[in-house]
Amino acid sequence: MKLVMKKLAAVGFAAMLAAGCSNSSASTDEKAASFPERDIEIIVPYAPGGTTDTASRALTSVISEYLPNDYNVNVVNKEGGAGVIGTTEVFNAKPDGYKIGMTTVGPMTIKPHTDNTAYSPETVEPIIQVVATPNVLVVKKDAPWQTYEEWLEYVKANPGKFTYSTTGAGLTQHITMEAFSAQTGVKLKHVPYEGGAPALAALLGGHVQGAVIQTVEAMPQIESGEIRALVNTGSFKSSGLEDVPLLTEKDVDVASDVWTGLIAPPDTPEDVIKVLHDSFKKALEDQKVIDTFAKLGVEPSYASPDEFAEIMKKDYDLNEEILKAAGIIE
Amino acid sequence: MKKEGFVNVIMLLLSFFMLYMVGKLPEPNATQELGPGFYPKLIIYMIIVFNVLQLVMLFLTKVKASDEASEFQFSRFFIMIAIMTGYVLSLSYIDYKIGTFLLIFSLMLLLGVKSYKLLLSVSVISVGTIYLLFEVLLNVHI
Amino acid sequence: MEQVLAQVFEMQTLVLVFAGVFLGVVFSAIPGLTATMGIALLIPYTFSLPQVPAISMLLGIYIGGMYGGSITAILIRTPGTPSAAATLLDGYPMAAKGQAGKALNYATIGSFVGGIISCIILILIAPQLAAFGLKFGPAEFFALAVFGLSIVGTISGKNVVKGLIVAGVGLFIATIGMDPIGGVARFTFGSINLTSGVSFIPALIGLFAVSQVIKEIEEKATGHNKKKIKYKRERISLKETFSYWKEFLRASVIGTFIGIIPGTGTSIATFLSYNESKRFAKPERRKEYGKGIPEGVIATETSNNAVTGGALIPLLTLGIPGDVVTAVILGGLLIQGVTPGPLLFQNNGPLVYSLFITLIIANIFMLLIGLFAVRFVGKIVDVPKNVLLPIVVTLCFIGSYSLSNNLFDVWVALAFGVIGYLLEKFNYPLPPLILGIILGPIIESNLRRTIIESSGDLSVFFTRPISAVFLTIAIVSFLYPLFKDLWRKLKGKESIEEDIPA
Repeated sequence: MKLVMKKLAAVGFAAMLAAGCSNSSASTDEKAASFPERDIEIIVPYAPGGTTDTASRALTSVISEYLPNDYNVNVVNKEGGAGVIGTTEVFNAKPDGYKIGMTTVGPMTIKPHTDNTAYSPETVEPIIQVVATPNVLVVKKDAPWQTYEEWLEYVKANPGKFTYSTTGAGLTQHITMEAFSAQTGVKLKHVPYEGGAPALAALLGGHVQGAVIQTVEAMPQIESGEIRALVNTGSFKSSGLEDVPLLTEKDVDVASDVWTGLIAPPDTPEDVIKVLHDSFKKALEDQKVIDTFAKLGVEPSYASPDEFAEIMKKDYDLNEEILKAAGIIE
Repeated sequence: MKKEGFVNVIMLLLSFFMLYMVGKLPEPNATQELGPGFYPKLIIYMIIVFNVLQLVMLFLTKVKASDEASEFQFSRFFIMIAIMTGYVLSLSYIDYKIGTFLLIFSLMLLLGVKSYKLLLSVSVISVGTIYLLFEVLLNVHI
Repeated sequence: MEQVLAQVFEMQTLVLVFAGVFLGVVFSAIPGLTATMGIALLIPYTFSLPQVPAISMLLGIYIGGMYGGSITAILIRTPGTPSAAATLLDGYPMAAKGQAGKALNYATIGSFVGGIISCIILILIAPQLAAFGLKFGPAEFFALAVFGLSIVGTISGKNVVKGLIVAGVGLFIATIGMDPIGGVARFTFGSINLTSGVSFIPALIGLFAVSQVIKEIEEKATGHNKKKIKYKRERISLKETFSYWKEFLRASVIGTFIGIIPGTGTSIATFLSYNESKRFAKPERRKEYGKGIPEGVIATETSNNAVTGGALIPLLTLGIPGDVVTAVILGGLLIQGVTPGPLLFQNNGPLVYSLFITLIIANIFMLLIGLFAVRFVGKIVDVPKNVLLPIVVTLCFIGSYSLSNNLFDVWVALAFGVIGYLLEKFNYPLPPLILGIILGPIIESNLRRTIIESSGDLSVFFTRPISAVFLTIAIVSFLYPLFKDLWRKLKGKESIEEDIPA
């Protein structure tokens, strides 16, 4: 017993020494050239299981094949505050490329207006846009409205009666509907939930009359006929929902998608961004990822760092306008 | 046991401070009926009511509780809290392996372990195991 | 069908289920590691596996993860997962009495029974039950959470007012961070770490484990912990086990029921089950709750594993995950090309049956691993306290850190350790604090949602039947023990002998 203890102690001590050595040898000069030197962490600002999360996990499952030095990328979920918490954490992280974040429309282009966040689209380093999904307005199968026109007639005749659930207060789904209200003069009643799944559950249980959720979240129920999509509030039609009209086709100039992309903290070295961008771009083109995305019902949608920065800026300005028109901010 | 009431007094003071903080929250806008301040205020009122109730009961009650709780080892308590605080503080400055070693070592000393063999071996094995489990196996970098 | 069986009983599948259950047990037993983490870590690995083995492994972790937390909760008062928080109410006192072996055995058997019963319910009547789960709208969630809060009386021990104060503090702590409806930051004092609220698991670890270490070290000099407890590998006879059949059954039903309602969580099931167990106990037995009796361990451990079958009902039939763990499983299923939802049973019938069979196998593995582990893990109790305590406290700190790689969480664990220690010193019960933190967010967001939906009309809480029933029971359970306690105190009666049924 004593001998075993001694052996164990020796092993433990050796391990300690070894770890101590490896830590001290890294110097700052080598950092960019040999990036990455350890595993990278992606902060997903939502709870596990959502589109952003699963898409991130699909990408990270193949990323080690494309990242130099065979290191891995780990997904860390930091949910809360409608995505602001996770995004803020990325913003405040050390700009060394080891902690980057998935971000989406809400925390990046809406919350900075309403919540006085530490960051804004101009202050983060965009890496790549990976996914875009439209939202749909869905109602239960036994709802009286078969088409968008019938529904519009009802809500015009009954202002403030129609309740709809969304993924959360002040997110794309909510803002889009506010924009819709601002343009058409229709009054609706918004009930925020903590994510797409509870919002859908509230609709299925009859606690709200409609729900505005991402197409991915609605697909299984639409396919089974439990719910019906009335209108697509995004900028493109996703597969399986080709016959659902876009708002823009109904003379309402509202079209916002929920995009997802990678960002890094401000002042991250350019070569680090380049390594990350190149690896993730290759991962996005990987057949396995394309297949997984297809299964998830997510559309891959690539944008380079510059394009991505532009998209962010465009939505940021647009949302400011809508929020002001809706009286949410001054 | 009446001196126990100071716990409630502290909680009451904290509650009033929090009430003041609630007052600084934004007013509800049109889309949200209750606003962010309503519910916390409700909870604080509840805490205040029960604390007052507890104080009243403390002074009205005729039960003579035994003084079992009065054996309070202040010095020991503070040394221990100091060690733990020092440890958490050290995590941001020095390598956690050194800090952890010192933490286990010093707490065992405090608990009266006299054998240096035991002190050293337990500390080292624990640090080694934690290193293997968290850093090597689970990729947690501390 | 034959094909399904062949797939399930393939060596690879069986090995992966076993590995999954084992990992689940280990992950949930170690403070700071959770089954959710285990599943999330393994999902990328399952990408390359065939459907059935991949999903089986994830389910294995899920099942094992529900059980493992009980081991450390019983032995060192450190709930590895929130679902084991209620287990220490009676589990740790049992260990302190030298009945750790017994407690562990009951926890294992309870977990197995709960898992199997909920699995059978899942197989037999999943679609019908899913429809019931959807009946829970904001008003019902609010009522259920308030009802959950009424348990305070049961878990407060002798002083209900103190329990209510502590529960209030817990509810208040839960309001720290982003407001659930408007998204306004509350009481964060500018700290980014607080915008997501006080992290629950570090708080839990601090409150029970760190505080216990502080207490034992502080008491060392006063000689309170001189008495030496030797670990006994107590076997429990089948007859003894069967004598608690009512406990097993009740806890299984409660666990499954709570599991079906999306968005409630396992910890609520365990506290409710504990409460009901005490409510239905004989008056003379009721006093023993919290002092270390098998009923307490059985009620909590059976119910948390019964949640598994229940939570899979909305997940598989509607595609709606009820909590974080099932949400991660949903991600794993999607990646395997399985879309849970109303069409799953039609399109993927054979797969669903293989899932069911896997669940039963996973539960059997859990039982075997548990019964085998009991022979060894109990030895922890034999380690001298002055060696064990420093290791426990280190594990608490490192574990809190590893949850989200955030030093702030370690401070949370330490702060809650001190708070927990001081509260216990002045005879304030700790479990209501946890209950408040768990239920707070559900109460607030659903109260506000209900009011938005009803345009400020509060009567909906009493016109909707499910909500009315829960709220009525809650109000009665609140007021009865409170008045009883007050009356007794004011009469100056020696109150220690009688505990209050809620």
